[in-house]
Amino acid sequence: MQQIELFAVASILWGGILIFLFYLFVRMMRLESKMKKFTQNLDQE
Amino acid sequence: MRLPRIILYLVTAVVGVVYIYMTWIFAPPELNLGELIRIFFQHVAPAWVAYLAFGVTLVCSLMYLWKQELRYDVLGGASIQLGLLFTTITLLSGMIWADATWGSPWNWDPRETTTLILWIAYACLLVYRASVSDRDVRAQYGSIFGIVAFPAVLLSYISIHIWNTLHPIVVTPGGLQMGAAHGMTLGVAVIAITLIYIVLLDLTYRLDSATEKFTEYRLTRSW
Repeated sequence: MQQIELFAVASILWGGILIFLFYLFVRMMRLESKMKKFTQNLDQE
Repeated sequence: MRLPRIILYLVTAVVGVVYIYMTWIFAPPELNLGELIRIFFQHVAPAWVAYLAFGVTLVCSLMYLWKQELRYDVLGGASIQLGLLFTTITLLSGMIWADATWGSPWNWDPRETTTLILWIAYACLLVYRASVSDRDVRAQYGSIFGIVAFPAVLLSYISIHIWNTLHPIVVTPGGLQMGAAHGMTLGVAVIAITLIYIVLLDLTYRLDSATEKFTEYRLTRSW
């Protein structure tokens, strides 16, 4: 029983940090694609 | 990438590995708690870092109101996100620990309740910041709320000293109430999670700054 609780707490800590890193990565990709689109539009103008 | 940043990331990785080793292998089981003592090192360190993150938000809010420079508001906003992350980890790991030791995951203990209030206060602040499109208004009122919300941190910290509580009091004026091995592991845990917080804050700040700059540039071009 104690092993399940220890595993759950470790998952919460490291899982939380990894999910936050993934969230930053997704935001970075979205910003990059927005910037690409914007520069493409500028070139067309 | 600049050299100090590479060094910071490497040091964080090394201390993180040492933290995992000390938590899972070095620290001996405790007399009463047994293996559950390992939860302690993954609960207290995020709690400390959550308080630190909200403290950084308080300082940035004061600095913004004083200097009126947007970078302080961006840094304060990034620190709120991380404070909420670590408060969530603290609350969830605390619930698992409470279930194992007190028999119920939620007991409306003063520390649990005040930490939940803290989480709600800063979650509201984050929602407010996301909902206001005017950059200056967001920074102005966001900074004021960043100061107004901080007493929730103090309340959460002192709750176990001013009310009757089930929560153990580890740090007393006499020092740490634990053995040397557990004290060392706790010290490394606090350093490791603080370093992880600094790395995440750096990444979030850079991303938020880039987003701000791009939005501003796009607005000036659209005029």
